[in-house]
Amino acid sequence: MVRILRYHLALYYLNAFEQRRKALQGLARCTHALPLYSPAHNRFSAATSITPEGLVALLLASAGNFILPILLSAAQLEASRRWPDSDIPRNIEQIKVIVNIAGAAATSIVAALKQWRASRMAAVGAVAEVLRDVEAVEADETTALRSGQKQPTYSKSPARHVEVERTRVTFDAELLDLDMKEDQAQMATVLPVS
Amino acid sequence: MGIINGIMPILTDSILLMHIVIERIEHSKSPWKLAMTMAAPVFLKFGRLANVAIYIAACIDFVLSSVRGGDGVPDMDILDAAQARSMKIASTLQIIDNLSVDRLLYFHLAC
Repeated sequence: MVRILRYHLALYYLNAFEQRRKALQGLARCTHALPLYSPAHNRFSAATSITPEGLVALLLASAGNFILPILLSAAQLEASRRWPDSDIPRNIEQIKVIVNIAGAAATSIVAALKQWRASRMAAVGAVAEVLRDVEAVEADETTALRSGQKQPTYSKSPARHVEVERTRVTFDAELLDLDMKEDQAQMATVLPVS
Repeated sequence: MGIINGIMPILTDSILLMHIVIERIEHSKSPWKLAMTMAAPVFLKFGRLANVAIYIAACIDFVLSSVRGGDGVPDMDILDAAQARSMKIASTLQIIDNLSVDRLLYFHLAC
């Protein structure tokens, strides 16, 4: 009987320990940045994509990054062919450089903002997961406590009742004794001095 | 100024290409296919860099021409010819490069 109780108690503690470990892992996950470009986190890939959503945003991004430089390059070629000695091709080139820099800066800023938003979403998700785990652990502990409060059905004989109570006390005393012995063994361990 | 104007578009286009490559790495299932898709813009970037390098070499030649001539007057024909040639090659390569990267962006959306 004592062995069965000890077995169930060990199972309960193992289960609780495992759930606490999962909760701590979730907490650690939310404190570290997620690997953004890992295929394992594809649910965040849409949030970090630099591809704009919507036709207007797509046309704006494409025009600023590619179409406008293409048109300016074509105009520069045509101007250098028609007026080779004028400053028009160089002016067009300077405008093209400014457009290029503005487009790259806008794209980088948009990508950084999306990455920041994805990190926030990941952190919020991890915190929610930790809270769910903690609630599950608390619910298990409450259930275990309630089941522990349930009075066992003793036989009507007072001698049998006293015997069962003594067994429970002995079991708890054994556990306490075991824990104290482990603590003493750990404290008595002599560390090697180099 | 001409050298900076030649290098900056390559730098900004490389940043854009880097963003697109990072995004495509997430969705790509075959590295070989990804490399084949990205090969053209990358080679075009190297071609544009080579063009800028040739222009820088022409500028150095222009500076050294004043030393070689002995009279301290540089040969302007070298610089003018190098500028005109570099501008035409750079504009043509940039048009092809931007078209290929733009096609990549729309191809990604279509797939």
